Amino acid sequence: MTSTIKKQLIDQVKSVLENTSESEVKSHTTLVTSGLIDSFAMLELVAFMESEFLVKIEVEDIEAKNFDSIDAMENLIQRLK
Amino acid sequence: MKEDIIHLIRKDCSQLFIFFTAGKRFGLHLSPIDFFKESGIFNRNIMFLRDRERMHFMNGIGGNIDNFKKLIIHFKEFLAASPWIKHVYCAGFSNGSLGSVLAGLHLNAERVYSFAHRPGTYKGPCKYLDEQVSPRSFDLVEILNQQKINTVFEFHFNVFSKDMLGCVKLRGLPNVKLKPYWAYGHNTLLTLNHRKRLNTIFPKFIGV
Repeated sequence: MTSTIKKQLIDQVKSVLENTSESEVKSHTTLVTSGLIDSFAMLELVAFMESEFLVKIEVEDIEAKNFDSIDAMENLIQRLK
Repeated sequence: MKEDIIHLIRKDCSQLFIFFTAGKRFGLHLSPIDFFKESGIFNRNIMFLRDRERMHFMNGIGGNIDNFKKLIIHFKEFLAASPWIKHVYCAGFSNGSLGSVLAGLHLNAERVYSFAHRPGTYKGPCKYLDEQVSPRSFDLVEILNQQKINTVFEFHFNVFSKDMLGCVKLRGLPNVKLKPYWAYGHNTLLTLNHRKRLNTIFPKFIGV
């Protein structure tokens, strides 16, 4: 079953990505290393995660491994909560 | 299409930085995250804007904010709803610089940081407030030559570049500070980054 956090993240990634079909975004889809999201989109995701999940993301946490998939982002949120 | 603006909110900080980026690589020549890391300002309130049309933000930032007037209204509404913010700074890179200068004037910002200012590079008409203009018609000498301006304008540029030609015209204007660097090309931020000076540009953190 998809967690609430995961579902919200998937919705947000779909919203950030343009010209991407919904089926392309799964929890394990690689986002950064595949070039699917650029640095602007990554910053958008940071802003979303901070405001939606009330976590404080340090600049050191903003690296590809923490944003490369929905799973990775969910792990980051769980760690920061 | 939605607006190309990112808001990073820090309610423990009384400073807001509004960044007017340019082009595909934002005029930063490094990723926004690396820019924030190196400049040390990720812990401030930040608005990060992108102008896909490269119209010096005269056509806004997409979505409902499709002209400069609406952009200024957006800033003012944001500030009205954010009473913890007491210090506003604008920064613009390359052809984002013009937007940062004009917004700085409208918002009575404390300081505007222009990096590698490019005067109007777009030839066609656009709407500035209620007037049809061309970005080429903006004369910064005329705009900044006013004694009543409180905002301080810093123009950072590499000496061996076309940018210098526009910047030296501003020498001696009230509240204008020229920051030339002995380097080649348009990438002023890259110059500052290579020299490990990005963290010396912006003011220190001010809490609420």
